[in-house]
Amino acid sequence: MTTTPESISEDDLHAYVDGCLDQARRPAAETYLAANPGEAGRVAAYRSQKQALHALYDPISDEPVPPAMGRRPARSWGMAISRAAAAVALILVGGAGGWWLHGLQGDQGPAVAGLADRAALAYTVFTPEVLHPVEVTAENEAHLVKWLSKRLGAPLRAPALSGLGYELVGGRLLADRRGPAALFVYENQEGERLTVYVRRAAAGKETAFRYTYKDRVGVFYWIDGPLAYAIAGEIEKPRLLEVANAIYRQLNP
Amino acid sequence: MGLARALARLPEDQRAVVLLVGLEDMSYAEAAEILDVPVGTVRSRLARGRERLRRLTGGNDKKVVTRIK
Repeated sequence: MTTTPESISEDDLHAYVDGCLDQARRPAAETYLAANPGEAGRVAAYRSQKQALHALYDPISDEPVPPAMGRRPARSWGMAISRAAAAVALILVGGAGGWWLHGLQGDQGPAVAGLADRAALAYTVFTPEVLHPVEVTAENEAHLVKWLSKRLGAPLRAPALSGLGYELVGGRLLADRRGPAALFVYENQEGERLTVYVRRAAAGKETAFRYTYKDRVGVFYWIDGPLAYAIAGEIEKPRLLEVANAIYRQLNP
Repeated sequence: MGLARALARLPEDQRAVVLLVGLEDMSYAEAAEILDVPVGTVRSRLARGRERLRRLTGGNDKKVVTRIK
C-alpha cells in the first residue's frame, strides 16, 4: 500500500472517493488533496469512473415491442429443444472469482429493466474476449447444462440458434442478488457474437418482449415461467428480434 | 478507449470489485463477503482496478466522461 508523507494512504483516497472514509480523517485527506493537484486529479478521475459506470449501466428506458407471441403456458427448458448446442460455464460468486450482477429492487418493472442492463453489461464485458469468452466450451455440453441447471435450480438448455447462423461458443454463470444467472455466448461465421442471459424470476411475472438499446448493444428481454431471458447483441433490431422469437419458440413449442 | 471496453480489459478479480463498489454501490465489507476475500483484498483490487481503468480510458476524468455516449 502506498502511504503518503501526510499519512493519507491509497486506501484512504479510495475510501474518500466512496464516501466511507472515517470522518476524523476527512480533513487530513482534503488538506492533502488541496496540496497535491495530481492526486486530486486522480481522485476526480475515480469519481468520474463511478459516474460513468452508472451512466452506462443504470436502468435505461424500456421500449415495449408489440409481442411477437401470444401468452402461452410457460414450459420448462426441459420440455424444449432436443438438438444442438448447449454449454454453460460458470463463474461462481465466491471463491472462483466471479463477478456480481444484480440491480434488482423487486420483480416489477424496474427489475426487468435491470435485467436488460445486466445482460448488456455481460455482453459488453465478455464478448470481446478472444481467447476466453467462456469458461467452459460447447464440447462439454452435457456436463455444463447439468451443472448450470443445478445452480439455477431449474432445468436449462442452451437455445439452438444454428438455424440463424449462430453456433454456441459456451457460457458462464454470473450471479445476481437472487442467485446464479447463466450467460450463453454464440458466434456466427463472421465472428459476430450475441449472448443469452438467463436468471430465475419470481413466479407469475411473465412479460412480453421488451427492447432496449444503448452504446451499440441491443437487448430483447422477457420473463417466461420461472426464468427471465435477455438476448443481447450488436446487430440490427429486426435480426435480434428474430433470434429472440426463435428462442421463445423453443421454450414454448 | 471507451469505458466499457476498458472494463473488459481488466483482470476479472479487479473488474469484480470495481463493479461491485462502483456500480452496485456496495460497501467494501459487502464486496468482501460476496467474493469471499478479506476486506484488505477488496481494497487492493479496487485500487489496482481503478487505476488501470483510468489509464486505459485516457488517464483523466474529463476523458472518461466524454467517452460516454
